[in-house]
Amino acid sequence: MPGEPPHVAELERFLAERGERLLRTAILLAGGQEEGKDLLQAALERVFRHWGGLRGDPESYLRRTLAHLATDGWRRRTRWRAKLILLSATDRGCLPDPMTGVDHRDQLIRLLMQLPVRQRTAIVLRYWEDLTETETAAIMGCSVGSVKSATSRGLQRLRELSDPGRVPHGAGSGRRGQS
Amino acid sequence: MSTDLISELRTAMEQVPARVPPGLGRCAYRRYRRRRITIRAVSAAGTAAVAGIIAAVVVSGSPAPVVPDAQAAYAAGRAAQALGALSIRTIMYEHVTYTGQPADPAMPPQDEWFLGTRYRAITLTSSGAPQTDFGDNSGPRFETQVKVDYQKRIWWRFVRQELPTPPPVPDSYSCSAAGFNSQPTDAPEMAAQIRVEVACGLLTAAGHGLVDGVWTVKLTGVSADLRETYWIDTTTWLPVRIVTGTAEVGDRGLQADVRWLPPTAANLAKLTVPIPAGFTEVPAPSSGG
Repeated sequence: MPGEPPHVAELERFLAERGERLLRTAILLAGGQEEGKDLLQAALERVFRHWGGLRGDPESYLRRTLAHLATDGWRRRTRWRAKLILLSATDRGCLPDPMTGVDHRDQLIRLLMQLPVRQRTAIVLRYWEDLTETETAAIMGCSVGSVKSATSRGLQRLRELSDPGRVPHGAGSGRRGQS
Repeated sequence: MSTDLISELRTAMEQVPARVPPGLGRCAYRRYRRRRITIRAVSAAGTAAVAGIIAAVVVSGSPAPVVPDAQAAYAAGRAAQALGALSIRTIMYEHVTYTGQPADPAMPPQDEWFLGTRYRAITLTSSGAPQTDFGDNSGPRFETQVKVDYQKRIWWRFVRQELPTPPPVPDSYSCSAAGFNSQPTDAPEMAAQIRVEVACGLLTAAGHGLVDGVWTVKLTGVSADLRETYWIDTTTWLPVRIVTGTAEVGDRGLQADVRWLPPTAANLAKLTVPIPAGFTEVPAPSSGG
């Protein structure tokens, strides 16, 4: 469009090619369709701040920003929004499913959403984005060992959740009883 | 490690619906532009507010200039100063009620306390008795949640061991992002939100009024389908009431009566969820509350 810098069109082209995958990452990290779109939108805005340094390849920056935003309390700030959604829903005489949007017909995705955000982030980056442990560690700002631990605990927890009769070994879930 | 589970997980993730809305990049660029202009506007409006000068902010590409309401800008500037002067250990307490009639069982009144990473919320019955009591403390390496259900006489505790959190991406406020969708969780966030909403022309002064016997200046506005109204104490310049709701006059809303509590031992104790004697501990939900 006239008056827009050329990188806007570049970003549109990039989103046409890679946007769906990134949006899916955002949905998986955020735990819902609308939350995922909000998360991606917030990350895209940040792309423009640093466009000069991205050299036309915003993907890794976007992935890193999605992961950071998903773990930095962004969810907590949406608590009020959740209340307002409830408020709007009462106007229509119905209440929304609190697990908004994600196709929870798939039980495994539903269980994935129950993991702590860091374990979920590690699993999404490793097995959805197909990143190596080193790349995942760089994005999450932690050590490779921490990524291994988070991934392992997350998978262990998924197994426990998908098979409640299974006796968990060790502290794989990261949960404790009353201390 | 089960490759079956990972394989199933990959297939399941592949099937999560994700459709990118057309023009998302262009929309993000416009929001970015507005954010940049807003940051300048907020700074200008903050200065102008104290001086009592009207700051006109021209938003590039928008059909009309955004002119912050002078009275609102003054009040926002004073409120930002007052909120900025509070101790970092000041506890933000809110009593939140649903203003629609008849009462909606899905929106019970609630008492909430915020201090740093700590949060507590008690939902109340219509007679003021506690229904549930929920506490959350999200540290950089852990998250602890406790919930007591007074009707079922049960309680649970949930602890997450988290990995070290990377440095947070600084959030900022803009005309598009501020909207009326977010809830500030401390004084600096509230100060920034009020200033941006006034600078963007979302909030304008709407006279004065008494809130619990305190004279206040009222700032109000509509964004999208929501109306937000602040009542700011004209003596302390601290916000004392915020109502956010559907835009129609007399329609439903959430009213938050705000108090700013010093960090005394008694007030700090409000952030802890007590477990009543005789209640039964049950397993926590798998993902906490």
